[in-house]
Amino acid sequence: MARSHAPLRVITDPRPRPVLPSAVLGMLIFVGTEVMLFAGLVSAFLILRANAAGAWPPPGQPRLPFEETAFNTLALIASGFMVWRARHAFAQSPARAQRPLAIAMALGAFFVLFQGYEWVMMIGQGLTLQSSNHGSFFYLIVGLHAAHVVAGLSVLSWAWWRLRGGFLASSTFAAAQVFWFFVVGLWPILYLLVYR
Amino acid sequence: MSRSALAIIWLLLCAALLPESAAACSVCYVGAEESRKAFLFTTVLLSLIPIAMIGTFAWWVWRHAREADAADEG
Repeated sequence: MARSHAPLRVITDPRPRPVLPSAVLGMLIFVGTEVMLFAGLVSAFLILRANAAGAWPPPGQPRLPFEETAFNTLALIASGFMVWRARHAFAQSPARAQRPLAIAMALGAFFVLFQGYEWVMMIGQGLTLQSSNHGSFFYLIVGLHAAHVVAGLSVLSWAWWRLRGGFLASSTFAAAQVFWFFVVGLWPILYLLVYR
Repeated sequence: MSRSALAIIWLLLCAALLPESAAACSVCYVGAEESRKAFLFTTVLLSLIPIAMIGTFAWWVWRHAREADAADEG
């Protein structure tokens, strides 16, 4: 019995290709909520400072270390630059992204440690959570950002570990970058608003 | 309309009158120009940030979708 052969058909996936990986989209939505959280805190701080109707910081409270923190700000911006370099290296060869990513993590860790040192100094000078509204907002806003840096470092470490093992997906790495760029990009704004 | 629904509507209307005594903002205690400017600035800031974020994202998606369409056709 002769078998009839139907002509071969090429089956293509009818679904449109996503513009953005799900991991990145999810991270962008999360970052959007975080932006609003910080915008609310900064708004409250600006109103409080305007209502102080006098010298800022309030009398008896220490001035924030603007110049010293400028150095720390540069370290965090350099960390963002290294993640950007890691991204380009990853596109050429994933193994080449390890080094810039490790430098980025080291710079991020330096930022957190330097800030911890700064907090110890500020507490020593009498600026605490309960000492004034100035202290409350300083520790709340800067502390919340520091918590985000620590979370970002954990995400980068996890990405680096997966990269070393050779099983880091580009979408996962992109999502980690989005969070780190948010943390880095937010800091200069907070620095200029809170420290000045 | 049933009696219970009518009673609930009346109750809600009466409740809407209650917060009158709490209508004043708890932080508007300084009548300084600086304070007025800060309120205005933060109102604009908090209103524009979500619009800017959603607008930027929508523009980005539109641009990439257009580029993908052009690549498919070409």
